Amino acid sequence: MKQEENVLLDIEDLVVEYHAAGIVVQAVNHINLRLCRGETLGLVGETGAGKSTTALSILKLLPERTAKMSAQKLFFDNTDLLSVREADMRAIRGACISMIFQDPMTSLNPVMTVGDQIAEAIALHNAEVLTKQEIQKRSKEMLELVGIPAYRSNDYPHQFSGGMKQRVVIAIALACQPELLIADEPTTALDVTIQAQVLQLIADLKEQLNTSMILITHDLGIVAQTCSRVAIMYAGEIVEIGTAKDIFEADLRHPYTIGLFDSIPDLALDVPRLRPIEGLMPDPTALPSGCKFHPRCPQCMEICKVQHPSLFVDQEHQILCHLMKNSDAQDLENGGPL
Amino acid sequence: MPIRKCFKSNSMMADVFRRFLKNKLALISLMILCVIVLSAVFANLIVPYNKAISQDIVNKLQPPSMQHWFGTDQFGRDVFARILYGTRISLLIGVCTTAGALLISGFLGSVAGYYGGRVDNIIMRLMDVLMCIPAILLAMTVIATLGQSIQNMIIAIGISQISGFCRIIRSVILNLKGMDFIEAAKSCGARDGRIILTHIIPNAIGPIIVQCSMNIAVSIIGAASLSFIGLGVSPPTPEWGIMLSEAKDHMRTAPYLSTIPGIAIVVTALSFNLLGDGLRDALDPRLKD
Repeated sequence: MKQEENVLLDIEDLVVEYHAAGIVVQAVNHINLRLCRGETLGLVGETGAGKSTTALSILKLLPERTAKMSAQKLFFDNTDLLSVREADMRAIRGACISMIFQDPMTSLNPVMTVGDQIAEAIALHNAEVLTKQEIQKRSKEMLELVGIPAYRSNDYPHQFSGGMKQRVVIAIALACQPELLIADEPTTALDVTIQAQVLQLIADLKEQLNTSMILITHDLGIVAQTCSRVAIMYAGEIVEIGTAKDIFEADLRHPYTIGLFDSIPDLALDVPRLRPIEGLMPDPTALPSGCKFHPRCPQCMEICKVQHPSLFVDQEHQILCHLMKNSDAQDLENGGPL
Repeated sequence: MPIRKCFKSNSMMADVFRRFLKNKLALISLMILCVIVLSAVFANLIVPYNKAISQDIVNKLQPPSMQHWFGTDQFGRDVFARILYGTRISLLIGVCTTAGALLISGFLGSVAGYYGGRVDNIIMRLMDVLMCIPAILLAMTVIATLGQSIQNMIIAIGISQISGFCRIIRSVILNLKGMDFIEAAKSCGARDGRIILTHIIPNAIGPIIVQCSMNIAVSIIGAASLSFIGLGVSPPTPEWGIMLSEAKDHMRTAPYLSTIPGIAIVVTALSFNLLGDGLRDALDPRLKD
């Protein structure tokens, strides 16, 4: 089990809503998440499940005008991020928590050399202690670290390929050796061979610098490769969380997780066609009552339509579903499955 | 290191320059502008200033000749000298109004675009009000209030250009604000001022340069028209608009008197416009060959 002092990030009851033109989008609904030092957590879900919103709310970078965020607890390294002032938050961003964005094509400034962009990230947090030369030197070291020869530091982003650009983005994110790295679909925009390289690079550097990581993805293959724990998100909720072994191999799994796995083509199995999950993600402005997954769930019961399920806990494995019942908890009114 | 060389040769500005060289029309405009600017700067080495203002009634209204390349006007002043010194005023007004308008609208436009919301609304509605008043009318009002001089002319034309500039800068910044690299800079802990200065402005510079060069053309024409209706610089200062205005009485007998300043205005304005076009094409990376 986890030790309290080892917890790096502790989120309790995080809610994020977007208010725009009188419509309320419920992007994240009562999420609890804990991350230990050195751990890699995979955050998996479809587009619009609230993964990126969760990531941005940790950095407090949600659009100010439209997003409303609240939480019981949002602790990072024993600092309460909820009460931190914006100036202090800036000191945390980049130095303690940093982020890799999805598309390397657009996340680099096209008119700055890559060396300068890495140097900027270093200078933002070390301008008092390091001289210009030292910053330049560190910038070149970071470039070498991600496998790009240092002489290219005077080149502009458009002179690099997609995979190389993502390496630069990684170098920027890791330039100040943050304790937490949030990677928001870092390989989605890359082709498969480059994906593997980049993932390997992230995993190696993470090991080397002892960084914790939240890896946001919709690709379960990537999760299996890199993550020690996995959280499955659906409609702004974490419907299942556990070790990678729990998610991939346990007998008891959330129907949505099962659906996700069934949607992956498998060469070894000879199935006539894939079994996608029927229907679409619910409209986040009008989420269904009860369990959010019930309109698409193949094992939907009457209770699912009216009552929000309670959490089933089996050691580290937690599932939000009416099908699973805690053995010690007394069954609620309706009893077992119909 | 041979590898290093082949990578280095290809920076952003080199790319822009290479694309610009391909546009023959813009290249010619640039050369014409160079000639115009140089002759304005070194005008006193070519013809002494008093040739442009001293009257010589005996030799009035002479057609172009070897002695007076562009002829003489109704007071016997050398038209070539007047055109040459007029270039100074036109360029001065064109560059100063644009620089002034750029500074003010650059600040207003970037604040409106970057912060959005109420600030944006207030600034842009003010600009709408400014836009509603016809430019020449606005300039006339300002001149009538402040009095007639080159400085006031610059202020008058500058004010009438702020609104258009402001809109363009705001839209460029609005566009850039949504880019991932701005978000990435924020996630590195950069503050607003730094993001605007190091990430937004260098990226917005392309469209702004283009707008500037077009704007200089508009200012030059604006200055000439103000002088033409008698609200610009006062005679006997050599200025293209005044020359046109004085020449209109001799349109039949001495057509060159109105044609030559007209050509000067058109060539200068057109060169700035074509240069702007060329720069826009060269600076837009989407048109990469």
